[in-house]
Amino acid sequence: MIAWPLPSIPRRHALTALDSAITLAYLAGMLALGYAVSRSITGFRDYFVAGGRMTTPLLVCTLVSTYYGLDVLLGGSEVGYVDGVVGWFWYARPYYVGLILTAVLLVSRLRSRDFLSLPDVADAAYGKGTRAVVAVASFLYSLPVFALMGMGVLLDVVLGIPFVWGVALGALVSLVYTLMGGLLADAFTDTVQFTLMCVTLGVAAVLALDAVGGVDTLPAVLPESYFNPRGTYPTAVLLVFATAALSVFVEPGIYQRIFAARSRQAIFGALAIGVVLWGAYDWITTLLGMAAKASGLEVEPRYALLTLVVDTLPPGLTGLFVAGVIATGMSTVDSYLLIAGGNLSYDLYRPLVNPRIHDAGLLRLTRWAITLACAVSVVLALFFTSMVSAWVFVAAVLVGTAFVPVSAALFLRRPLKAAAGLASSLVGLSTVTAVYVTVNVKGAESEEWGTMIWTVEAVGRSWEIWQEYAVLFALPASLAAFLAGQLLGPERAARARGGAR
Amino acid sequence: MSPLAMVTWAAVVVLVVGSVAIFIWFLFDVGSVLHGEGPAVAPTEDPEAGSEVDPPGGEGNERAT
Repeated sequence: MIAWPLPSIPRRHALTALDSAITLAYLAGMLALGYAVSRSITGFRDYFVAGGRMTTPLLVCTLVSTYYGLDVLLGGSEVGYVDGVVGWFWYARPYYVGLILTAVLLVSRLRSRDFLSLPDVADAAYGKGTRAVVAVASFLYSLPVFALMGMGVLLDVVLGIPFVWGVALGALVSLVYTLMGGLLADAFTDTVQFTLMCVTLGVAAVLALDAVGGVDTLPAVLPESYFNPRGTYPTAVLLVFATAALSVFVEPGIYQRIFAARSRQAIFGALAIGVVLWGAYDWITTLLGMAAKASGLEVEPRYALLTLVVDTLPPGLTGLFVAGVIATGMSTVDSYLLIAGGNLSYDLYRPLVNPRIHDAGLLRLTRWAITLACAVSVVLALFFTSMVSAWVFVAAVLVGTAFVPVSAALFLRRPLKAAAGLASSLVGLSTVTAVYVTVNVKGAESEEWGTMIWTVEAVGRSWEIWQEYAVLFALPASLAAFLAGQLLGPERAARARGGAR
Repeated sequence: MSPLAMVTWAAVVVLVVGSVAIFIWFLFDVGSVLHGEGPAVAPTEDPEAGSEVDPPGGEGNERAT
């Protein structure tokens, strides 16, 4: 399942000097902006949740650009290229429902307490054990593996840099940028990155679709199944795609911005506006993947969008688009490296090892933790072959570990036992891991679907277990463990009341 | 114009016009973020909250500020 060396693709369109100048000017501008804003950081709360002073437009920019990275840009177009509009209907649309429900059900509950992170919520309800397990899951989820993969793909397509070196280079640039600023610097740079990624994608869509003969030519060229909302995926896989949207309810980046918002109204408005923008962004990426297929491009599916657009745009606009794609990746890398670093320092080290660490020490430790997270991300970016399967894996880890205990903490009014949270999170994490390991050891890679599948003979027929099914096993297991812990676990001390309201 | 083309054009308009409008809104708003005195309602927005459990992290685990 090692991804590299990936097959090289033909490059028909190199960057001109003008394109390169625009791309470099963008990178320099982002570093300067990040540096200027980072000077206002005075402590860990400033660094991690921007002092709780983020307003609606700032939240829209940082939510949209952070939550949508290269995994969505390239992963969405990958599904569009291979299977059509199912990418929007089953891969993206469930997330909009999750985001709306998050605004309606979670925002008030989360902001009713002085939390800074997802593990804080678990800690308040169950104690340090569950905090540690949820922090580990949050750390794995937050590693910006796919954004780095996307940067590797981008540098391969436009500059001919081998994928492995592209990933390493992207990681290095992003690391320097991330260490410089906290969430406020991140969010300020996100405003430029958000505008750039949306405008360049919109303009690129117009030109690229025109180059393939217009949107209305797609139904005449592509198979009918490309316009079937279910595509050709098995029902269980569609269910897994939809289940992955449960990650929204325990999504560390969204939690961080909920805590960083100046008011409930600010985050409500930002999520509502964000859903509209996300919907448009997903539709365009899916359609560009389909347009690449219709144009006859025979490339690695995840290369489809980039190859089509870079082939289509004139000099100058290509540079802007490349800057927009880099912006898409950077806005995700810096935000999630910050969260992953915070998971190690604030969520694990501070409560478990050194509760009395001073603020400056915590800040310094967080920066080292960010560096470690970046190194781990590079290794993982070279492991996975498919953006979609990689995304589903970490979403399964987060959902399997945190969904049941955190939801119970936020919604149940009865006292919760530490054993319930710990058992639920541990069993969920273990189940996801066990399913992935088992399928990868006993199964085989399917060329048709591009994923690992274990075929099991049982009850007189054969069953195909995809590695992506892990969350379908993990959620019931986590729930059963929660109920067992709640019924059989020892009573807790007075501190352990049932979490936030 | 087909429904497919209409949806696609609508998405393009949302992306281009919407993102530029949000960015302009941010430019008008940036002063309140830079010079703001923190959250509008702090530290929590629920007046009844905060007294029922210890801070996350347990005893002796002071929140970093």
